[in-house]
Amino acid sequence: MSSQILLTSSEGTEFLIDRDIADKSMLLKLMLEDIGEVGQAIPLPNVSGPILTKVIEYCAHHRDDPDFQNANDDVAAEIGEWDLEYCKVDQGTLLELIWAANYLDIKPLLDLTCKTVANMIKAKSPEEIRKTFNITNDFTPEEEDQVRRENGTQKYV
Amino acid sequence: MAPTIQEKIADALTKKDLGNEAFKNGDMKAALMQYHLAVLGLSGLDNQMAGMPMMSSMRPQETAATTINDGQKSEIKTNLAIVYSNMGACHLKNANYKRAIEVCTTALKQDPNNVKAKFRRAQAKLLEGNLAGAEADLTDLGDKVPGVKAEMEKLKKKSKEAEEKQRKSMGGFLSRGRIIDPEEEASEASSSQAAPAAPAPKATPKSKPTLASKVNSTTRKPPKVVKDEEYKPSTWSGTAPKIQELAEGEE
Repeated sequence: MSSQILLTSSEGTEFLIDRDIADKSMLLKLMLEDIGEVGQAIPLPNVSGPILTKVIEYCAHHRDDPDFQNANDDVAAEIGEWDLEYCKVDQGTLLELIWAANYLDIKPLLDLTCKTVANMIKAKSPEEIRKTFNITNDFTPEEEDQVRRENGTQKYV
Repeated sequence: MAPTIQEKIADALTKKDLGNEAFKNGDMKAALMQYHLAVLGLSGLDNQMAGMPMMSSMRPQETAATTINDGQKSEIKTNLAIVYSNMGACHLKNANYKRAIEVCTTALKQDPNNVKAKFRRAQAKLLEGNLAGAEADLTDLGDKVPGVKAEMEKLKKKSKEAEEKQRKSMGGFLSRGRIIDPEEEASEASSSQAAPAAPAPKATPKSKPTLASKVNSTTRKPPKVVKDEEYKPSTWSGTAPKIQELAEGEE
């Protein structure tokens, strides 16, 4: 019924996906609309195969969502169970997913991955955040004092 | 060996050139294809420069070849703007004004100083009938840019036509002795008349006061200018570039 689109990742791995899944990416959707039949594989030189696999997994899972593009607009809303599982990846993968979602212009995936990072920061002390993201504390005691003063009542700094 | 950033940029620029060639040969579909491929090559690199110092620890290992420098950053932005602007030229040729405006706006986001993108957007807006939007872009470009004067003339003609039409329908109302609702008149004026967005040379001749406008001159609100996107004035200083034919010329 729906036509299929061939994508190639940065290493040259080919991915054959249904048109409606490709259309989740606004970048690809607009391209396909502008050109019609592409007649060749669409190269995605800045997404690796493993990451593209993950991205396609997300789009395929949500392919029938009625309001896909605005799915994660609500910042306060809880992340769904499947999405939560989906984001249980190492930090490097999560960052690459953010890049890919931004590159391919898949807004709900970008919102989801950024929300996941936000949740990693939420309700943590600076020391815990440093530990989470492996950041060395480069503040001198004086600077830290100043930050504390500037932020007034903030209990964690 | 994975290609370096520089090689990826070079590859995308080759596609841009192929697109320009196809454009010159009048093959809009092939041109659009190549321009889209160029975007696919350039914009992903663009993502990687997103400054996320906090997440630096999350980054996969980086080398000089995979890290982007400031020179490459601006090279990418400039060229993305050119590619999007050239897509705009294709859409103009295809009379797809909505897409032409979209891609020119994208181009201007990458490079607010891209004169061609703004000029083409003005052309598309004019052809689409968005006179106020076209005038804002043209005024912003300034009449030192070749082609702007001619487009301004077209714009004046169009807004005059629109005004004639309005006056005729207005006359019809008046001859039937109907009192014109000020709200209705104001909304008509805003949709058919190019309201100047900047203190520019007035493109629309002042309309003769109608009965309604005389009666309501104190209560009437100025017509609202409906803009399709947030309009940011360019920082471009107004020196005329050496561009022969803005509508056609490729970079």
